[in-house]
Amino acid sequence: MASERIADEPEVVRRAAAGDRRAFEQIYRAYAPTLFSYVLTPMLGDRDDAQDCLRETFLSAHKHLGTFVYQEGGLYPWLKTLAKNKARDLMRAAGRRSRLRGSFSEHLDAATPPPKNPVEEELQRTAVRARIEEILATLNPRYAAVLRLRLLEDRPREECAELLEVKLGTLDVLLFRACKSFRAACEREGLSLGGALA
Amino acid sequence: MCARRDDPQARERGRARKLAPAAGVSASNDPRERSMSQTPETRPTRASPLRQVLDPAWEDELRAGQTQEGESGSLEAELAALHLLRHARAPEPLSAAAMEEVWGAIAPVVAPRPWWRRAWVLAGVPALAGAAALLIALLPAGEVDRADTQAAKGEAAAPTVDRVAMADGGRREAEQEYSPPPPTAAPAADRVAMVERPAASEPSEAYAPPPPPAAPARGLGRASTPPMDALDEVGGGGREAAKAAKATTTKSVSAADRRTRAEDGDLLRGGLVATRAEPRAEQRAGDGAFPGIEAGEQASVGDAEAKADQAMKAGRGEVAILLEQQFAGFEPGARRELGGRVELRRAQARGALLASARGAQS
Repeated sequence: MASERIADEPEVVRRAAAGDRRAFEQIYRAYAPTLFSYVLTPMLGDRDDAQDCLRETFLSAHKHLGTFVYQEGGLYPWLKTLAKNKARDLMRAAGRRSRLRGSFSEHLDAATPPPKNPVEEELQRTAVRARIEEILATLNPRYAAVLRLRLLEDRPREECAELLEVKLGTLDVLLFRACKSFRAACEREGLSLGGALA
Repeated sequence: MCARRDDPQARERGRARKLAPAAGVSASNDPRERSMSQTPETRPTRASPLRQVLDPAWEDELRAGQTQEGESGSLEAELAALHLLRHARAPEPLSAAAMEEVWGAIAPVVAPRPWWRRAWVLAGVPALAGAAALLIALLPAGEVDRADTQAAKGEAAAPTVDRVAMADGGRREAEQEYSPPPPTAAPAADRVAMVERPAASEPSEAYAPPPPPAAPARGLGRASTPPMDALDEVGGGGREAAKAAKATTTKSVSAADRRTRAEDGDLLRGGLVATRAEPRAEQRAGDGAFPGIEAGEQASVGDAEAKADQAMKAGRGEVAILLEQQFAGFEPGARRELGGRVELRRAQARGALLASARGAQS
């Protein structure tokens, strides 16, 4: 999922800043998936909003690429900052200051230090997965089981219901209770989900 | 079945057996181990397409559970927890179609503007077009003026026999083309002798003006005599006249002898041009007395013919023939013009008579 860093990135950035369309497209294709999946989607919790922000991010990047001073960390941290700013601007424009619908970026940021490149984003997700397992271990086993089967293993509802020996309607109730329990456990761990604007 | 339902331990064992693969997968924190454990057997067999992180169906499932639980209200926190778990499994991917869609919105802005859409073109092209239109509107008049000036200069510098040939019929046009020579105190014969000769063909010794004609004639034909004088001066038959002029001028006869036939042609042309230019001044002076002009015309033509005959006898036959041809064309033209003038005078007189008659009647 995460894209590799661009080979000879400083030269590509220099050419893109000079107006080379192909160089800028190379940057876009290298970093857009990562920004969308690991930055914008967790922050916004909405696919359409994330795509809008992705577009605005790269338009802004193209506009201000001339002012970018290349550093050791590369271009990705700068793009990620732009994407976060655009996401905040969008949330403010939508009037969603207090709570974000389905966003979970703060949990990701709390789990590990902020990633500096796409590879670190993938590593962060692995770390988050480990942290989730720790939290699941503290939950009711049935709740933990339904969360693993339905959400982590992506098993169909019918199969989950059969494994858990419950009806489909009961499975929905079980899933709802499991999610509430997981959110409470996260808050106990100091991680607030769907919280305030980052 | 009934025994199993009655025995809680057996029921727990069966449930643990069913959940064992799933628990084994989820319990592993090692990505390699996790990916290896996700064999086709352990992967979910789904009839429906894979739900991504942000699939709205997740919210529907939560909403259904909330409803069955008898609760209501916002599901944002539960939905965030669900999204986090789904993201931990696999992040929401940016599909190829979505990626191209976003790039389609970015590309027009990122693409360098073609030169015809740049600001300097948009501002400069109308200005250039306006300037070009202005030039097109103004240039023809300037070109005509310049062409007239150049033509006048060229004709003045190198008059030709062709232009002289149209002296009769196109006199008025010639008057427009040629600026009248400045009035000088010198006699007409002098002016004829000094007519426009190209500077390159000017001999080292100045040309000696021939003596003025004994009987200066008025009218159109008078100007035709000076070439004959010049011919006398430069031609072989005019050596006696040149010798006679030697006493009164500083020019030598030998210089005249050395003149080539081409120079003779130049001289002839210059003289003929003078025949055309000269009568203009005479004509202006003679306005209002055309009967006299007609008489002078007849006299000068006769005089020129006599001189042409003399030149032919003197051995300059071809020059004389040229002159004769010129006069042959010249005489009818002069007559036509004089006839026109007569008609004009008659019309004026008729108008005056009518006006006076009307005045008398009133």
